[in-house]
Amino acid sequence: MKNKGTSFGEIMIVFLIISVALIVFLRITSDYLKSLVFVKDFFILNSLLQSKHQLLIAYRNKALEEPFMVETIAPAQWPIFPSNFCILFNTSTKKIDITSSSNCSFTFIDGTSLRNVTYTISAYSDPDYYIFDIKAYDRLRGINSEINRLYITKWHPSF
Amino acid sequence: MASFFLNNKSYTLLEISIVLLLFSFAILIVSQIYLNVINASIMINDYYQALENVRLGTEKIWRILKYGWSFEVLNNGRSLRFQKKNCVTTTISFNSAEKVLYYQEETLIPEPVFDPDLVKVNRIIFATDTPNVNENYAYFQYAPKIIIIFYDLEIKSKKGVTTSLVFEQAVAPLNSTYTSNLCAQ
Repeated sequence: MKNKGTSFGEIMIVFLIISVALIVFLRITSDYLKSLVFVKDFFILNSLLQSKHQLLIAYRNKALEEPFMVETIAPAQWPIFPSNFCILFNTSTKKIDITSSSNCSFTFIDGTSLRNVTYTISAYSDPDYYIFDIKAYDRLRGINSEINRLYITKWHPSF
Repeated sequence: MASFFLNNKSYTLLEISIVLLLFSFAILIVSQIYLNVINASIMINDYYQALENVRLGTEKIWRILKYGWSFEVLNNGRSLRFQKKNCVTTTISFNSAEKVLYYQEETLIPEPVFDPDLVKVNRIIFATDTPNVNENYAYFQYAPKIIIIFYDLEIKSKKGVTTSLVFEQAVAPLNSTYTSNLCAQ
């Protein structure tokens, strides 16, 4: 009877092949799940940026329209923006508030915060329009949104 | 080589059984992993579909509100009534019992904004700003300048696994700049 068994090298090769196969399968699964998390996070970041765009337009409209009197044709009061600021909808006063800051956290209207997500708005002024650069950052995933540039005219579109 | 074929020594039943057992285990583990990959892929596909449905629903709301008139928040922020571009009175309301967000034009049958099979609506809050002035002369002076919608959703896979999706949408209506409300008459 031959007593020759399996050598250590052979066993190691078998284990190596099994491990590689397992890693490949697990990697595919984790990549699938990771892609969902990223897509979801991008969706949330984009909705945040979109809501800030609209708040900026609304702030401009409010500043120009409410004091405007048709009879007297009062001159437009252009809103003044700090170079870096946060913009949010204040649920108790039901007004849009602006505070000077270079790092803003995001709070929903139900009072909860979007943890790990911050955003910055930088404003530049031109004789005719404002330029806003809005950028969001997810600390947990390390995702940076693209810089969204928004141009808003200082003059009113309908007056 | 000849000695290999002439060797009459065969494997015992125990040896064959052990080999078969080990082989079955290996097949079982590999097939389980393979099934998990397939299930994950199906689940992710379902989630993408649900996310796409959310995107379409919110875009539809955004477009309609952008051109709307006379916005009113009702039922403690659960409903929003307004007039569409064509002055049809429209309501977007959250049904907490059914966990569905409905869109309804005047007396027509309400239709869900999101596919209930893909998206479960846990909570919706509507909010609008209030004007700074008491003037009621020109529409642009008293019209809401911003409408905020808070969404607390769950996107579902066909296997019943859900993941939460909480976000906010804001719309600055274009018609807030008009001198008179064309739907007021």
